[in-house]
Amino acid sequence: MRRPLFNILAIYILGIILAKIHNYILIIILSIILLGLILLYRNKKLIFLLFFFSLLTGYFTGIIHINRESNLSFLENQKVLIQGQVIQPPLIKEDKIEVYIRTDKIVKDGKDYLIEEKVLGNIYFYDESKSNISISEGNIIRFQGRIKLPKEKRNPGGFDYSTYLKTKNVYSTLSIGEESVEVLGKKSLGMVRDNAFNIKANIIKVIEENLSKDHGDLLKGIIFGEKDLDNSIRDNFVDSGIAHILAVSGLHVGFLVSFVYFITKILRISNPFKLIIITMVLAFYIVVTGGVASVIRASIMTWIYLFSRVISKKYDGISALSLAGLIILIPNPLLIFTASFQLSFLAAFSIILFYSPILEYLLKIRFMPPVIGQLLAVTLAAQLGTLPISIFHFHQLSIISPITNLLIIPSLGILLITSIGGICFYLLTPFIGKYLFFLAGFIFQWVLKIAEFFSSLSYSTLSLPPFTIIGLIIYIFVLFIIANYIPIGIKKVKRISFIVLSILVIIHFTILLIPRPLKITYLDVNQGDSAIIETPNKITILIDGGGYPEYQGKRKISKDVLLPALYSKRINSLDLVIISHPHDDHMKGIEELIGEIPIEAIGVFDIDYKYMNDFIEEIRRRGIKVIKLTEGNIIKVDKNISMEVLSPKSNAIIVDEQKDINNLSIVIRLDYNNSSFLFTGDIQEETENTLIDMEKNIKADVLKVPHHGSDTSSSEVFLAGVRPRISIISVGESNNFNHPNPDVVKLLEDISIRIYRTDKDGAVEVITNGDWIRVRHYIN
Amino acid sequence: MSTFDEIKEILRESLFPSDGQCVLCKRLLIFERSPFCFYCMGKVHWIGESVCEKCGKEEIYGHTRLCLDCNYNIHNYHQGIALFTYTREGKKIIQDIKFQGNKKLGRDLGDKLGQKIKTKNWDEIHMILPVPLHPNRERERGFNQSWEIARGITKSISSPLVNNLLIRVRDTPHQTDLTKRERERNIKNAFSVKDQQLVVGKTILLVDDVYTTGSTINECGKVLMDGGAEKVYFAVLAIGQR
Repeated sequence: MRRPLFNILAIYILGIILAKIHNYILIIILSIILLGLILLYRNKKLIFLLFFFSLLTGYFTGIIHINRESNLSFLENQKVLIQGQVIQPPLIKEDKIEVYIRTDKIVKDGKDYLIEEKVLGNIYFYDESKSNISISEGNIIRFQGRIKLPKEKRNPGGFDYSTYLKTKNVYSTLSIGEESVEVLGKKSLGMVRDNAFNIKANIIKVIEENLSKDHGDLLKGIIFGEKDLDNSIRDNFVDSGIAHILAVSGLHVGFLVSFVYFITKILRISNPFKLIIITMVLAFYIVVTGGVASVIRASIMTWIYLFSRVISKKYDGISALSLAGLIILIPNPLLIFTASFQLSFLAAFSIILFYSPILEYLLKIRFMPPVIGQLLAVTLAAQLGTLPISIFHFHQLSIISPITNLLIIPSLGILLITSIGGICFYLLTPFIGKYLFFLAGFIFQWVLKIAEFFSSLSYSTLSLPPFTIIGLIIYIFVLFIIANYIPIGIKKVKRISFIVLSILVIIHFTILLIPRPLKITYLDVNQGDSAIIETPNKITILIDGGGYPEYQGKRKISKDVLLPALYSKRINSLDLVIISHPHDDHMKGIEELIGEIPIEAIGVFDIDYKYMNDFIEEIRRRGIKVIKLTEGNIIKVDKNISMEVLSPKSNAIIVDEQKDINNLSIVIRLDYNNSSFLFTGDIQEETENTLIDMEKNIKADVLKVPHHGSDTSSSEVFLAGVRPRISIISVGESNNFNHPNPDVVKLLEDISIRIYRTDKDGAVEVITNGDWIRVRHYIN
Repeated sequence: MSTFDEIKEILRESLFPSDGQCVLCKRLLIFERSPFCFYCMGKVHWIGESVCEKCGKEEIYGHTRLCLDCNYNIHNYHQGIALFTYTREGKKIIQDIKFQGNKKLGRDLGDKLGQKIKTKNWDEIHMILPVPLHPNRERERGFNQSWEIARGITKSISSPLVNNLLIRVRDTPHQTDLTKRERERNIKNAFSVKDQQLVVGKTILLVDDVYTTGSTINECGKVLMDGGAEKVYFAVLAIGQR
């Protein structure tokens, strides 16, 4: 066994994953295999026993952490008075302050509850510009807030906010209006934290005194990973592929350690003292950055490296990384599901694996200066390893990032050294400090300019669908071949690799080509409608796109739900988008999609309506086909799949904007062999009656219940006509319209076999081959 | 070794595996099962089939079945076996074991050596004796490389591994830069058998790291044969070229 720590970590992670997908059968099978191996290989029984325990530990710690719940959950959605202590420096965001609070006392209806729990408070600003309260870590505060339980993953490709907060030991959040916050006093958070936060506050003060706002924010972002940068600057960094310098990572720890190491060398400090000083600096940095996994990881690895020097042993990156992984994951196993942990560990792992092989290739290029080769090798190695993960999370790939990083990383090093030097000197002799800050100003300017220039280039990023599992295996296989870890220089290995690779590629493409069943996903877009249709031959249709109401401000349903869902389904372009009717909760999401994802054609009703006419003009200008849909149209979608437009007639006249537009929603019946789906938009009783009067075929297996289950729709006659086996109500959680109406729900319960509600079940996926129908929902 | 030392060794080896990199080119090892990368595996001069029947060197002189040395000199052992030739790569391997403290490499290669011994039609071996270091040298280095190699051998040859039976009584300088004659003089009377009783009538396997001129093995063989041993074989990792 070459690296037992790595194997233990891998098996431990496997246990956590099995806990998450809740598969105890696999756990039992794997345990039996491991115990069987003990009997087979008696001389290695200790190591298999260790594996067996790692698997079980991973599984059970996973289960324990997944099932942890807030002690405040009995007060969900209630307004309460809370007293507690701010335990970390608050983070100021665009429209709110994020603050971690340890509660002491909760008052509800005159009753006191003494509950101690860490919660995340979102203090929303009274007016949009800026807040006028000032709180800091250590403060005891009292405020009114509404207790909320964070949401789990509700849509395909959606963000699992609940798991994310669980990794921070937070199980409930509070919405707080800033006017209710009262600061009562201040209390110590313990000596270590008090001092660390104190030093941090002083550093920030020095930064703010000496640098302009943009530069200061950037430096704070780089040193502490606080993301309160101006949005446009932030976007520039993201688009030019260097956003990672704004999130504290191993790179930052590397610079910090090199800096400290350099100083200790100048001051001729002896080896053991060096180790002590660096340990203290690392501990300080871990505390001020809030104990982010990436910083802890890099610190542990640095420490192991220095330790290996002291006891003169060969440092092994993979084993050091594995030990760091175990130390971080055992108390907090759910971290493996967060993007930051995955990126940090994979970046480190692939730098260890691929740095030297890539450098070897690069140095073969003539006139390649070694320094540039080394820098390029680091960036390329990190990027190759994190590529599948970053596409999975962010759906895009920065092509120019090796170049931008080549320019940025050395600048970042110089920038950090001058700035940290500036901060240190400023406290001793302000004059030299000021001079260093003055110099740093030029580098800031240069960094910002690079970001601005490269983000302005078109085609700097590529949108890519996530890897399939086989695609991922092929990718890793090829990487290992290129890096020479699979020795294709040996004839036999070359032949076998070639055969395996060809088989994988063939399987990959046949899987992509095999027709799959029809899949319709009714997304949870809060109050609103949206459904994605994927046909067996990969035709994709979107019916409505949801949309947040006006008061939700800058939030976009397309960013939150639609695009992640589409990308996670590997949909890169839409063949047809249908807007049932021009109301925000159906259409706004689609307006947001234009320009974000290629759309072949948009289907709208054939009715003269100002807002729609403007929209049509706009999309025509962008080269998107417009199809006007009227009653009687039949669209052939795919083999054996067609859609019939049942309503509205063309040229209807709108009198009452709200009601008439609802009633003029496009109603579509989709048929696939023996199964049929009815999409009804927001039609009300009037249109329902017209459909029955005209003797339209409205019989369907799956009904999207009209108008979010409102009582103005779903008349008994209509439902009797449809006779749906499955009814789906697309409705927002605790919406202002009291949708769905309980009577409608009751009626549906009498008629259909199953009812799904997006507010309770999350997104609902209906899968059919034209005969059988299967339903899967995202929340249990 | 005490249990505590053993645990310490396991922990140290887990965090700082000594076979994490290729011994020769320092490339990271991942899928390899040996301490060398696939490419360096081919660079080591592994000893093949046609060898000197006496010392196991890959060299045959004229129409005999022996190497030049064994043709003209009489040795105090029966037969010997070696894993690879002491070339540039071979030297690097031995240095890694001795001077980098890579005990695991010694054990792994010892294991290989043991498997090779099994294929030979040798008499049953009663005990395995590593060529000892002088206590001063062993304290300085922290371990005896021959002992580690012998430990590897015991994985496939289940004879008792005996320490402190063959002992070094004289602290001799390094053999490296000496000629054959000087080596013989240097090593003379450096060994002795502690308990003659245990040796009488036994078939013994001597284990050492390198065999160049054979003076060390010869001297040990002489002491053992004088003590009444039945037969002496030897096994080394590296054997010199002519």
